[in-house]
Amino acid sequence: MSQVSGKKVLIVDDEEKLRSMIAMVIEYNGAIVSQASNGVNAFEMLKKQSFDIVVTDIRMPNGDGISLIDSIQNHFKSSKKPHIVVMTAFSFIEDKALLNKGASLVMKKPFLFDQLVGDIDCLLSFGCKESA
Amino acid sequence: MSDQNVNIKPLSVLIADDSHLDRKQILRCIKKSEKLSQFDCDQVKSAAETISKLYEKEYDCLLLDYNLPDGSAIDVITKIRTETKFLPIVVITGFNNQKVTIEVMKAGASDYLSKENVNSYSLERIVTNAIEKSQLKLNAYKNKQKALQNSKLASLGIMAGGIAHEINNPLAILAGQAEVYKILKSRDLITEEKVDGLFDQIEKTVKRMAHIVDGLKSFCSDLRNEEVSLVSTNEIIEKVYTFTAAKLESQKIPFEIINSCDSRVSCNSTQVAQVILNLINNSIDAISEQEKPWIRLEVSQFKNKVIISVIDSGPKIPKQVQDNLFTPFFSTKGVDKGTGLGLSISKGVLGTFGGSLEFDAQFKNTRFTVSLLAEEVVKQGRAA
Repeated sequence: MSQVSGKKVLIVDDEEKLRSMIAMVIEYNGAIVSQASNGVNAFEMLKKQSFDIVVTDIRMPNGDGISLIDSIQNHFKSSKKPHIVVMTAFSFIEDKALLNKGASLVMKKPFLFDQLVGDIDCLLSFGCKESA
Repeated sequence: MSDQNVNIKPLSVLIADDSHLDRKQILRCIKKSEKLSQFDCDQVKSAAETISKLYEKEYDCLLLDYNLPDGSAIDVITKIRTETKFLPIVVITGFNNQKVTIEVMKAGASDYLSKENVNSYSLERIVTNAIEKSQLKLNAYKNKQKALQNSKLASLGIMAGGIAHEINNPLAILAGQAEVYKILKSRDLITEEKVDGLFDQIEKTVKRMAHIVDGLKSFCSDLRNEEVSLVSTNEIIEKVYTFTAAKLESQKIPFEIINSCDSRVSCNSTQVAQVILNLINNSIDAISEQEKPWIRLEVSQFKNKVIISVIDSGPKIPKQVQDNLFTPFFSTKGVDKGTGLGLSISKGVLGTFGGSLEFDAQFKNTRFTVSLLAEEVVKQGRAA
């Protein structure tokens, strides 16, 4: 049984196709999944309900991933802060900087979806911070 | 450059004067001067000889008589300046006439000296100054070129990053589609319809990647055609109208042209028309769902610039989008509609002939402005 089973996961990406496929795969592993197409909408959802994990893209129109990470860091107490998994297709920001900002995991597109679920599993089991 | 450098290097000077006596006088002053005495000196008697000598050999300074039998110093300087901006040219004027000095300086002389003031001190001071000034100018020019090259490399980096981003996203989708297939298979949910659907999506995703590569191709070819001429803004607007009228009509979007001037501008008219077409297409995409959409094209002249504005009924663009408007591959359109290259290409293209593309953040609706150099500026620019 995957560690994500029963967890509330928010997927944030402006690529609708990719977002829905990630949602499908994570849902398949037993998670309760919500979706948002940009950082601004995602943050609104985060304020209304609690999530265990936020999986977010970086480059999005109307609210990028970096601003979303900053908003999460500023708004939530550490006990209520969701794990943040960042997906980047290409970014001039280094992985280390993303981890320092508060991301728990950096996934580089294109990644295999098995790997995404496996890494999130590892994150939930050991709280490990690593870059895929 | 320090005085010492001027001394150490064996520099050369070309003396252009039709009067034998004047040349002799100048030579004498040079030989008497401490700093100039080692200069290698050549002499010519006419404008034509001056030009051909300069083609033959590289000089560090030209001492040019104002009146040569086959042309004035102005003609010679104008000709030289089309080839090089950095050769120090000191004009020896026969008459201490302010009008003449202004003329030669405007034409591009480094300095001037009237004949009655020629002596070894004045000549030494003026020649060494002119050489130093030119050297500084040359260094500044080289630095600017270097900075330009660096910024080109930087934008190439941004561009490459953009390409990586745009290719990695569909690659992630392709990986996902494979994953979806595996899940369906493991749950025994594979049907012919689902497989067809997946293949259809894979095809679309591949087409999307090909579309990005196509966008890059036109980016490169647009930059290659660089012919620039003086054209009337009316001609550009007509071109734009011919191409957009049908589309605007079919979308039932009212289109208005407010043309307060017909100026001649220096540009590549096809490229400018493409830029404006691109802006209008952006407008159509942005407002076609609105209840009362409209697009307006305004042409006006402000001082030396002709401004063509594309204004539409759209609201102000959000700050986040504004910041990225000209970033290659940034797009708010769906993946099938835009490459995210339009505005960045347009900006680059206009820049090649001194124009610019701006977004007006102050305006209450959406307004982009294309600025072009008006004819007068171009003429002045050539004369200066």
